[in-house]
Amino acid sequence: MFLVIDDRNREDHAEWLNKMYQLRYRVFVEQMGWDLPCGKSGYERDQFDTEHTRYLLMVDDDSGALLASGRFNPTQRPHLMSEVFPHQCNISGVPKGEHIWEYTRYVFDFEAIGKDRFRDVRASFGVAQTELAILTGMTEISWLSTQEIYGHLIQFWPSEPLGTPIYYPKEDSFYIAALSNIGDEALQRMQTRLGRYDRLLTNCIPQHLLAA
Amino acid sequence: LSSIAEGQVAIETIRQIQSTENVDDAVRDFVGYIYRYGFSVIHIGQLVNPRERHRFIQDPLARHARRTKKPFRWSDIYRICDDAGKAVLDEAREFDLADGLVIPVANYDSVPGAVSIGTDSFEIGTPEIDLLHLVCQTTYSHIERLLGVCPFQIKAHLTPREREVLTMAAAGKTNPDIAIILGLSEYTVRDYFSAISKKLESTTRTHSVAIALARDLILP
Repeated sequence: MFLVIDDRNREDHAEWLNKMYQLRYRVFVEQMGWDLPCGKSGYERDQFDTEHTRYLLMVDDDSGALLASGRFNPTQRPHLMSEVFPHQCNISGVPKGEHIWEYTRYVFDFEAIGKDRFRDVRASFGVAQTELAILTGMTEISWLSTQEIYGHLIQFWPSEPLGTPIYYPKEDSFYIAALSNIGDEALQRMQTRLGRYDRLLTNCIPQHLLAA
Repeated sequence: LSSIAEGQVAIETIRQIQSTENVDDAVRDFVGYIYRYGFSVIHIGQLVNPRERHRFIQDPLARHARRTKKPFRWSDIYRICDDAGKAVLDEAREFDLADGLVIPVANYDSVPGAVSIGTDSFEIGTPEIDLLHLVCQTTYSHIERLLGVCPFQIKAHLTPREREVLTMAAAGKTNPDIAIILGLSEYTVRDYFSAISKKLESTTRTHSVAIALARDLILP
């Protein structure tokens, strides 16, 4: 099951949002060692979790566990790329626009998912995040990722880099910022490569978020 | 040219390459780009190719590319590799390819790859190498998308136990042997082989071992 959460239904899903902050803490702070402004609270929540943010959550229908989540922010307001990582956009600048959204905090709960179905969950979540963007009127998405994920995502989303890759010694990884066109081609490429053709977000998106 | 201008050229090149619909056009645009920096020869490929396995083992650049995520110079590897590796690079020198760069490319679903570009000599700074890195990564991914991931190169996700069972089979153990060594029943060992067979799309136990060796899923 997928949940799409924004400011208007946040109260109904407060418990899920808390689980999401906890998952982000476990993965980004405890496992990946990111230096984030949340101390040892057990919840990873920052200044970009705002009233304008939209979240996509994937929940296990059987166990009720949170499996994956991602965060979309409007680029016309302060967002991670504009405030923290503008240097990653050293060639084309930080993209901003009404229909350009930033995608961050893409995360899976590997333990809850288990090895056997990880590929399937990742495929479903990949298709769902593309569907969400299209159905709620996002035409472009900016994102920052490791070189590996960049190489993977550009297979699906028609993208171009915004800056040069920057090496982060602590993680022994290069990070690249990119801007993707999100439309029928992106969805079609994703469905074809991942073999998921069913619509995943039917009835999951609140009416007020659906693009005209 | 300033580094911003160079960056814009790199982005423009990426746009061009990504708009191509066949590999020849993509390679032509890529060659045009690397020629600016004096490179004249390219090799783009995945780092496990069963048909060239012997060559891969000898090639010190391919070996190093599997161990790092960072671009590196051929000449840096020449200094540290063994005699067999030096012989491979000396062979390249005979064709006026005295130096070059290797850009490793990591992938999620398929084995790692690399783009190697060679020339007689070159002098470029880190910002330019970073741009080359980006163009190489994008070119590699675009070509892979055009060709589709080579079916025999897709990583099969074997469990540790399945790899263990296969390694023993590769060492000549029979199913009863494996059952005794691992403290399992013969039926369980057989179940492992049928799960492996599905994942590797193989027809027999020997076929599974052959595929696993060719794809580097187990050590010989």
